[in-house]
Amino acid sequence: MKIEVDHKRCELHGQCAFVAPELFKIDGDTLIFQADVPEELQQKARTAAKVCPQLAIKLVE
Amino acid sequence: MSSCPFAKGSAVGLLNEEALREPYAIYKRLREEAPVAFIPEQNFWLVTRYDDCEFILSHPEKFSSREAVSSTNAYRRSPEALEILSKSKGHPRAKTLIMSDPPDHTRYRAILQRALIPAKTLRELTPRIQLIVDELIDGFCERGSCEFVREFAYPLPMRIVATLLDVPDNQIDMLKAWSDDFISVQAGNIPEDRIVDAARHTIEFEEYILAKLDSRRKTKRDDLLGRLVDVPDGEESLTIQELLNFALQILVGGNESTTNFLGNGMYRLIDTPGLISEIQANPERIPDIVEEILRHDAPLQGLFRVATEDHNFDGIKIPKGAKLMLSFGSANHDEKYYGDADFDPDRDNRSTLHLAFGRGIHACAGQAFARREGVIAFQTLTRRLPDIRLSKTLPSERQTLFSLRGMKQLHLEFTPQARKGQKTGQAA
Repeated sequence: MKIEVDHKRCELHGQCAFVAPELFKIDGDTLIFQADVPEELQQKARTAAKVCPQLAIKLVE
Repeated sequence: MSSCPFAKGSAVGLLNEEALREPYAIYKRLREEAPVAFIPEQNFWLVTRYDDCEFILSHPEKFSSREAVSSTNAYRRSPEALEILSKSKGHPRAKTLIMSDPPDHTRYRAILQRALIPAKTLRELTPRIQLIVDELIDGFCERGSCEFVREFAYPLPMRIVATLLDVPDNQIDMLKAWSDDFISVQAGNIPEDRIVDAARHTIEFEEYILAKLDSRRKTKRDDLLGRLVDVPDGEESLTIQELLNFALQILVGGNESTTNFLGNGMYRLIDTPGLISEIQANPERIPDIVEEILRHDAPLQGLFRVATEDHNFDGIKIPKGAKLMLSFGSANHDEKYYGDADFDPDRDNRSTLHLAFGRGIHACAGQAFARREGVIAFQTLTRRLPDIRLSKTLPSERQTLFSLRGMKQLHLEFTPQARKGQKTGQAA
């Protein structure tokens, strides 16, 4: 599984970093994320994509 | 299910005063016995389980948002109000954002994002949130008591909305009157003799916003309203009706639910033994506690959808055209994810995030503002008024509106403290 983020949509709500801090981090004005999702974090990645208020996170399986 | 009183469509008792104050026991029975229950008095189906609410929110093509905020629009009862409204520039009123479906919604939401620029705007507003929080506390800290809703929970978000809409602070009571009328009309609980006044208020609001929009058409201005009318080349402008509906949603969405969230939160902080001293020692825990406040007492208890096709919820058949109310209040207490669902400041809200802000394409666009206001407010209040507690003499009271959960009044007391301005020797 790979994470893709549409930075034009992202408004740094930070909900991804809240539900999946292992994969997402807000650093100042930048969203940093780990693109390759290990097996054990896939559920968290799905939750992050689901709760993004901007629907800016896409998962490619 | 034949023994279930709800399934037969008998009165659920959701609208009696006691249930409006504490609806969670009824929600629990509904989740167990009739998770999608027809409420004949209201002519809608109440959806109470988390999974069903989330499914509906994630399928806008099956469940339309055209009637998302209205249970009964009181204007329909008053020909005089309709006559007044029909002669205004806002007529016919547009349904945008929360009341729209794709593809219109997709466009509206993109325009809102371009005009609001939430991340940038919030970053710029954060010092102002802190300033307002301190000013409001300065207003009552020497007295040793306050009515928290009127003196804090209402003016904080309203002054932020006023900043966004370029309204001076001394006019926030006017914004509040407009906003309250709109909510009462939508909720249908406005007294008959107030409906016509509410219609006049709507027109006052529209004229006020139109003047601001007009001045920005003449002279460009880089603020929220200015960006709404400054449309990039090749893009279609919003109509006057659409612009007014945007402004109305920004006004209402930006104040009422945050006021309720702040009141609910302050009440929970005080009502949970030891929590305030824990926050004072560990302020970094506040963001998690804010999520628990939002989960436990969703300020907006629900929104509506209309089924665009027949649907079957685990054996309960809903016809096309049926109106459904998604109960965020109930979903956030669903035992499947939250166990006993009691307020628990140590709860892990990260694995199943509450639905207080909705989910999917209509997820609240201003949620980061509400969270930031809450974090700064609770951090500052518990620091500056360390022994804040319920008043021993004056009562506190819950609101009793079906779709909103908040405090009507919350009387608090504390050891009097110096104003911040005095302490630092500077004006606040």
